[in-house]
Amino acid sequence: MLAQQLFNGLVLGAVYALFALGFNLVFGVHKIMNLAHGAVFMIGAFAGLYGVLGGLPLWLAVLVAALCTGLLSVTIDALAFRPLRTSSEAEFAVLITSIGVDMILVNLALRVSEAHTMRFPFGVVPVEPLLVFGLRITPLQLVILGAALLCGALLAWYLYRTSFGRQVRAVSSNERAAMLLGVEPRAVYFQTFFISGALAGIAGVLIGLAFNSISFSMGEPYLLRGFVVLIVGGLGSLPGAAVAGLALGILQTLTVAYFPSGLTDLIVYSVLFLMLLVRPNGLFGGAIADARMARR
Amino acid sequence: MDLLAAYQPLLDLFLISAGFALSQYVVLRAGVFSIATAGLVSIGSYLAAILMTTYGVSIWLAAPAATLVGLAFGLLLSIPLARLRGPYQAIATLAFVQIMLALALYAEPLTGGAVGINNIPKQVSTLGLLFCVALTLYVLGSINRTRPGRIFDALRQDEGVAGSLGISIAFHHTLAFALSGAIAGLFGALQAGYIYSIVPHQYGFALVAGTLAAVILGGRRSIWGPVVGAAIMTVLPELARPLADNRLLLIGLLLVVMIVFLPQGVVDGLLQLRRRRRGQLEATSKATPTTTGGMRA
Amino acid sequence: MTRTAKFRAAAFAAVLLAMTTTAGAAEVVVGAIAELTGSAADFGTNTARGLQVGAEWLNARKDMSGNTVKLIVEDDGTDKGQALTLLNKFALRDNAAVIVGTSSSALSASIAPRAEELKVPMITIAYSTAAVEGRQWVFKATDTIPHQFQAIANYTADVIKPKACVRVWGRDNEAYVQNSKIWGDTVTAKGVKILDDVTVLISDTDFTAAATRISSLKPDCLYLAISPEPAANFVLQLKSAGLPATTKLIGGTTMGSRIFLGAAGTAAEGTYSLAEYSPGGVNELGKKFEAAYQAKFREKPDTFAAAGFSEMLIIGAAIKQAGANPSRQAIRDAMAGLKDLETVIGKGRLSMVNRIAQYDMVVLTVKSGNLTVAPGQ
Repeated sequence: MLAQQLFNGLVLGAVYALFALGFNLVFGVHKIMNLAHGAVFMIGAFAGLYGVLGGLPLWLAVLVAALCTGLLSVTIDALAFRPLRTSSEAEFAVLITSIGVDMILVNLALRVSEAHTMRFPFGVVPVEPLLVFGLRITPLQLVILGAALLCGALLAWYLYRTSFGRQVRAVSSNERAAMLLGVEPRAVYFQTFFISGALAGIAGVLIGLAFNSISFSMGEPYLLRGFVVLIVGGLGSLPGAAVAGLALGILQTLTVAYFPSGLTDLIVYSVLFLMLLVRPNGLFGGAIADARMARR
Repeated sequence: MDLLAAYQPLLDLFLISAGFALSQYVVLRAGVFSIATAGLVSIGSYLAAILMTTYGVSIWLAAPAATLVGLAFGLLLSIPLARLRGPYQAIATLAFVQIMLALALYAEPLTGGAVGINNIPKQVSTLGLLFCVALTLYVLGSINRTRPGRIFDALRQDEGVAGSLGISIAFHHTLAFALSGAIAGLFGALQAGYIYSIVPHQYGFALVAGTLAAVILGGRRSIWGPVVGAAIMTVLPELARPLADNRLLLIGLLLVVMIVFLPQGVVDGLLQLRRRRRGQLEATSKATPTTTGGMRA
Repeated sequence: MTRTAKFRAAAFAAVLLAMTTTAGAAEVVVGAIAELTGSAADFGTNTARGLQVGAEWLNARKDMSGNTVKLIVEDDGTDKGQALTLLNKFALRDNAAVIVGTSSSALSASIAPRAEELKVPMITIAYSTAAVEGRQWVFKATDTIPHQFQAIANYTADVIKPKACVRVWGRDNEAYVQNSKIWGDTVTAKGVKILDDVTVLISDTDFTAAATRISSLKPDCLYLAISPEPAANFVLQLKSAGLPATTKLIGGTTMGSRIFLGAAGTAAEGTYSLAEYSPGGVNELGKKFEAAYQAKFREKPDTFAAAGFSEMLIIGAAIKQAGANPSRQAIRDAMAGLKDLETVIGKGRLSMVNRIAQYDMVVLTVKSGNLTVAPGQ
């Protein structure tokens, strides 16, 4: 059973990683803790659902969902974060506007879904599990792993091989210097928010498929887990987010499998707390902002 | 008057929320990015609830006990959190809140688990709440006017400079945590003694977000900031009732709009506008650089 | 008589007539505190819909001693503070004669003491009896869990007769905690072994770890006490994880709901559930209720909608018995004494016993995609 549970954990972790990558991108580059990220994830799930219900094949629905949430994310930045950029209170103020945006999006979803939980129609992804090396692997689990890998690879290529990506990395390490060197910040904001939103949207569709449940409140638990991944991986570190996401998925699955249920949350958050005490920069962090540095 | 009686609970709930907001305010003012208030409140609530139901203790004893225990937990928290700053503190305290929530759900023999604790005798009156809020405002106001308050300001604005001037950062952060814990414990107990029953769910992320919103919305410098913020957050859902299912939408929209126009919060923002209009130099330092030197877009 | 005298007499008679007709036609205000947003929005929304259909039904039948019902539904956001504020508002400002609320056990336990203080009858469908215990003015429109779940527990032990089972329940909801305990105690006393207890949060969606753990135990039966969608999810993930086809899936009222059936698809075949509300209705009233609900909301009602409708029926019967222009006290007394009222839940008849509605439950099973009464009852 251990191998099976490890595999289950890996799949869950892949989704956590996707979610956290988007969250971490915005935080690492712009120091914005976007509490509406969970709602964007949820909207992605709905967008994918309506795409499929509208007759689109799954792969296209996922792309459409990613496009929607990418644009949504950019819009959120334009309306709720950009006006605050010149303010000295930006750090806290964006927290609150992101809470406000979260409320708006959740309410919209509640109205549209009439508070009901919805699900993808049957057969969108074949259900019969395959038996590989004694493990039961459903096609859906393969889809999730594949999508996560693809997104991760694309993101890495974008950040490290394209000039856009170089600009993003420049802004992330020192925005002022980047601007002096001719980087256009607006373009960078657009790209980071778009990618962040798109990743969240894809994660939303995958989770909606995997666990057969799409509801207006599905974002919050993932947002909370997103924080855990953020810290454990290291703020601003994308490889960290990926590894920590996978680790969290495995940790969570194993605690459910082997410990009395009810201890899962306790264990996960205690690990987070301990991490913050022992190695607050996380597994890969340290490049961006030292956790111990006094606030300036 | 029946009308007054009909809306009295609103006043009581506002006072309790104001208490929570003040607890959150104290740490933010000292430059500590802690959002542990919800967790500290839950400790105060459960302690008081258990004392009042199982042991028949009156609120007059339970509340001070909860205040002390809250203070103790605040002190305890300050130890691990002393080495963290900024968002790391925030997330650590969020983890603390979630741990408390998980414990409340899990420790069923003590906390009643998912059911919570019911039939808590209602011993808290509006007068009592007014008194406690007034007392808290008095204590915090006194602190603000004296040296610790000025040190809090210095720490909030530039910790490095404050440290170089010989100020003990650790002591003042610990003080802030202790105060926050004490206030949270007190108002947690008051809440338990008011709403007849408590469940773990009410001390989760929603309380964290709501309390934080109250402080940021109202303003985190003046002590009236959290009070005004709590008033707005309590009254808004009632005012928006005609909108029925769309209330959340309106509240969210208002939050965004209010913060965009008054990013320092309603009270501090209005105070600043008033000062500006009077042609005085701004007393509050405007340039508080954030972690990577100024964002422009 | 002089002309003025005749006129005066006529006027007097007219006024007298008007008084006698208005004396009976009181509009009874019913204030409903519902979770229309927040975490319990799904249950609260459907309950409120059931109430609305019920109010329209009662007013159309005109069988309440000349009274009519005015139903006001307000959202409490699944928040205690708002629920309390609403209770005070309805009772003190809107002059409500009856308060309906809420579908959440935590909220109803919180506002019940205040209803008792204000001496206004309050009726709730919440599963917990905490709101009702020790009070005079608070009523429960759904039966107690021990009474309801005896039916499925006995059926399991006496008819299905498994050797070893696994129990699963949502640990953050008292109803599920309680009913799984009752089921467990009863079947253990009758010789069934419980291999493992797995708890989840009803907000969970990922059950792969738990499903794998359970499937590896290969139990004869599995008892599920979680809400409909997670239950359906769980069942699907169990099948994916390789749960043997011979394992009998047994659940409470949630697994008999249309939501569960719709979500679980073919995986629901052969599952057993307890029916508070059987889709299609157990009697004529049930069929009419479904038709009215479907006409108004373009979807079939679920168990919460049915409970809401039943609540309204109870209120209507109490108002009728209390007479024209009833006082709060009269409604309370009438409600407490209701016997053999026709309703749409259980087997179709309920009686108020110690201010809690009592009725008989039916065990259902899914055959060829349809819910039917399980054999052997």
